[in-house]
Amino acid sequence: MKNLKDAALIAILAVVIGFGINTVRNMASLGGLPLHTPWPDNRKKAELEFPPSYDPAADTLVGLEEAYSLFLSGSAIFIDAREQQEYDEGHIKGALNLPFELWDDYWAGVGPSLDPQKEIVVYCGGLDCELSLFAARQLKSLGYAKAYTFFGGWQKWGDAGLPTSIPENGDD
Amino acid sequence: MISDFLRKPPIVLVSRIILGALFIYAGIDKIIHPLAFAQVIHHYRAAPPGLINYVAVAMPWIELLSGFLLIVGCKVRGSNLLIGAMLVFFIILLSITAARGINVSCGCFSTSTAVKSNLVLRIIEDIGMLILSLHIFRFAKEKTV
Repeated sequence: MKNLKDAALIAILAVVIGFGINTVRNMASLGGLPLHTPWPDNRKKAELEFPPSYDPAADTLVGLEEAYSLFLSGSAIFIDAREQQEYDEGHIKGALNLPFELWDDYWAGVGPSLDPQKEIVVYCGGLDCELSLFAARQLKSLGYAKAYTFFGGWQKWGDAGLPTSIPENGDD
Repeated sequence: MISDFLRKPPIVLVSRIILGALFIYAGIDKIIHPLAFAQVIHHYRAAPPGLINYVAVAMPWIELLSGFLLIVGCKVRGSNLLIGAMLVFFIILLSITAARGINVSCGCFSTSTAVKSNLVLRIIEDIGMLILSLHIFRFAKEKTV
């Protein structure tokens, strides 16, 4: 019982110190956190329909069906924008790995395989991953006008049971 | 045998220092970057929007103060209880988040959102820390400075 009381006292003391210092930081512009920032309520949403940074004027999104028909067409190149470790654990069949965060390291290997005239489908983990969106923008700025973002990504593709390369079946 | 070893005050002290240092380390980055930590909380999709900033301001200080007290040996059992309760909460939260399939950066030791965490690994880490906490709970005496 005494322990519980001590724990409560420590917590209260910490909260008082925390809010006190935060108030001072707010007043002195020292990186405090204003307490009234409005956050969108995202508790119910299991997954987003659009990337949070989606810009209809700049980005082209494709859904699962469109991505799959591009896949079947055989002419589109798929780009996996996740880091290599995730790519190695499994990716859309035939996709090339171009981790957005290590663009400069990977671009030399991937760039020559791309054709500015053809469709490029960029994806990442799905759900709220936006690497695909950023990578597609980068591709567009480099002149690959048909760079599309498949926001459903690895998650949706895998859930739908579409063709993948996973190390166990080894086929790429 | 093993419990004779575990009850030795220097061994309990080692657990206190490790666990306390981890909590101090975890708290400091969040105190320096409160907005980044609030974003991490938001990404968990579990907190009522109006509470997010309050949690982001208060929780790092609870981590820091309880970790500090655990190491210096003041109110060891109380601060350890607080740390244990936080760990149980984190384990439950991470498990629910993993089960919901939310791709999140855990914000456990860093407020960076660039790298998504392996939640299972984080849960195992937290269980490891909870074991240290249980060790302290079982053998620490109040006057162990």
